[in-house]
Amino acid sequence: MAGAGGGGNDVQWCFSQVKGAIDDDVAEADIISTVEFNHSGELLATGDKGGRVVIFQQETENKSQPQCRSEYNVYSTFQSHEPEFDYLKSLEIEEKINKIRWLPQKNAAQFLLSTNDKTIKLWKISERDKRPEGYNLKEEDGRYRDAATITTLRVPVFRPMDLMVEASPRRVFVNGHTYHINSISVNSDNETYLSADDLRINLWHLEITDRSFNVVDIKPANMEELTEVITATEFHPHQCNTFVYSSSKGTIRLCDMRASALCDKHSKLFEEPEDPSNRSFFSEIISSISDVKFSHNGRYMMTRDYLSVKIWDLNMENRPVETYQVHEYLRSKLCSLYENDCIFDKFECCWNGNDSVVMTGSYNNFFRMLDRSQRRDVTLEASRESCKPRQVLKPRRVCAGGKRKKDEISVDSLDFNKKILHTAWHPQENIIAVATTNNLYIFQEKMN
Amino acid sequence: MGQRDITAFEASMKRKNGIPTVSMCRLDVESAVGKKEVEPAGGDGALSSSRYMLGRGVKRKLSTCEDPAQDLPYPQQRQLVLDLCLDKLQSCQQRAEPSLHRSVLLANTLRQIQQEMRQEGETCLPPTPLGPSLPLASTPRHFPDLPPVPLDCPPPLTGALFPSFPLMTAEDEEVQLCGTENETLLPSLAGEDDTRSLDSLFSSFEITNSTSYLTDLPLDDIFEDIDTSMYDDSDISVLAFPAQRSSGVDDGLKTVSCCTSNSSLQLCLSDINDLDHIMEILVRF
Repeated sequence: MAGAGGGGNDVQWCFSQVKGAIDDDVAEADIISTVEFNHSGELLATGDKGGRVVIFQQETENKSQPQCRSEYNVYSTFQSHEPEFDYLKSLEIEEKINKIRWLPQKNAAQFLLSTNDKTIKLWKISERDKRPEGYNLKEEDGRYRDAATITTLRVPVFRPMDLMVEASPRRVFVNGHTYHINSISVNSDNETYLSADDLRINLWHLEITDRSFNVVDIKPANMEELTEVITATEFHPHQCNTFVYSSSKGTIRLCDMRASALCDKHSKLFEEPEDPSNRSFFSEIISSISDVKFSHNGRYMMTRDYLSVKIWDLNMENRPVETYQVHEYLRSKLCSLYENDCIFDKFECCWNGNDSVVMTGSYNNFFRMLDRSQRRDVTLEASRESCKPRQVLKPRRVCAGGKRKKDEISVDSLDFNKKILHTAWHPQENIIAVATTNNLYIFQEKMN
Repeated sequence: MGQRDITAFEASMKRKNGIPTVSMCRLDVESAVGKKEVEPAGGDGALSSSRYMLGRGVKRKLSTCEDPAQDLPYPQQRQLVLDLCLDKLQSCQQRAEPSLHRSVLLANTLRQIQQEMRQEGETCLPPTPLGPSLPLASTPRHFPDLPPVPLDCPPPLTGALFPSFPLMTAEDEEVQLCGTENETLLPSLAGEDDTRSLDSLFSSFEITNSTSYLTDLPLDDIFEDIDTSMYDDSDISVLAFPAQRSSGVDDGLKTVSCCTSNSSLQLCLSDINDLDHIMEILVRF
């Protein structure tokens, strides 16, 4: 295994597993809305539109058989959020899980934060593989014994039992947000976390549920002056005082909480001047940033807008250091994509373990691997047709116009209903999780 | 796998079996197999390199080999985007997942177009009302499934047009058609109407902590401001309407007075009276 998790085109990706229903009729509740590996990569969590969280666990590798791939199997499933009803507005508050973030592991139990539009919950996932047996007053099935029949005393002992994984809500963080929560981020101090909605960002302490501290507020005095919303936020991976947030106008602001209590004034503003030759009615919409992620080493951050992925050096504010086109062939289709609302799709992006490759999704169940070190990119597809065990994924090509070569697919044939919005990369290994509408694909590096 | 696209003439997207296909928007480039390569010239972007169709009923050319001739004048491209924008903003409230982010982006696009149009209006002759004269806007758009318009939806019309009582009758469709025509007048309206509408639209996205709303509020207060005097059967309420009726409607009034006290019929007809009155005002614009 190439432990460092590097390589885009050196690596050949093969199918490992697919989770979820096979039939094309997608139940709305099964639509996957978030995917996240934990810090060790042993656990993989998904959230769906029905408010459920499913956690998969990697089987411990069989070292004696290097060919044997570790598989992810269901570890725990629980209902995280339920739908609520806002009586004043006659609106249902969706139970869809918008984001899951894991806490670093401190003891035997695992903790994660999951959030819907309104409420954030801290869940504890713990294992139980022993149970006490030999009570004096109770039978094994729980019935009380007749006191008269007890003649001896014994000490109950722990005996092994079938592994049981329990998930319990430990904290519920309510009423922190007036608008819809779009992201959460755990601080490197392991005590606090951020939650962002369209107009505000709050800082919470993991132990305190009835109060949060508002650090960013961009709500104007008159709502009619509103022209910009917050789209994502993230804490710096090492500096516990630093966080960034992205906006619908394509800007990223870096804030330092040491500078002032309210971070409405940014420390840095990252913005690339618009290319006048690409100007159209849709320029602003496609510049809206849908995701922002720091690199693992904390020196860069990556942003995803509708057509591209940009890598920014934290020390350079006026332009990104790298820009990658995800699906430039869509630029001439923007009006159609505006008509059918696809232009508002929010794609996420992720880094590999050593920050050399980034990945993001596209349409037609395609996803893109962009290799920074080798300046190469590849388009792959998550499809049921490439589902044989260890089947190597073939690179896909999209033909923008003109003569379509063999094996290419033309832009007009793309299925815009099949979008890959959520992807995740194992923090150490070359294992990726790619979510189509209702299926989760796991791909691994080809082993020789 | 991929879906074959269907080129369509309609401005609005139809969802087939819930699966959106990218129907050809007039402003987009069509890429078909076997044609000469069409590249956006000099990176001009979507608009300059697109193939344009003049409007409904014009034969679509099969090949895109010709130069991006810009057959469709820029104002018509802009009108198309404007129409789409207004469509989407109006349907914002009825979506399953209302999104402030989306509304803000739409509002910004709308504002940008309006600003452009106003600037042009200042530099050349004042434009004729953009309503029925433009071929694109002349066909009233059909809202087949539009549910009753909620009060806080941003219509450019005054609140009087939408009855404050929840009756869904046939003339609601007329109401919506009125709305259509008036929306194309939107660019020429003063900015305050827009901002007021946007204000109500954006404020409607707040999630309130209202689980105890119904129990906290003394219920009688909710109904205080609803004027129910019109609906008393005992009064001859129809004849007591303010005397702003045009003569053509008198027949209707007489017909009503002959009816038995069918209060719902009275109410229907009074709706039509209101509607006619306001239609006159609109037509004069």
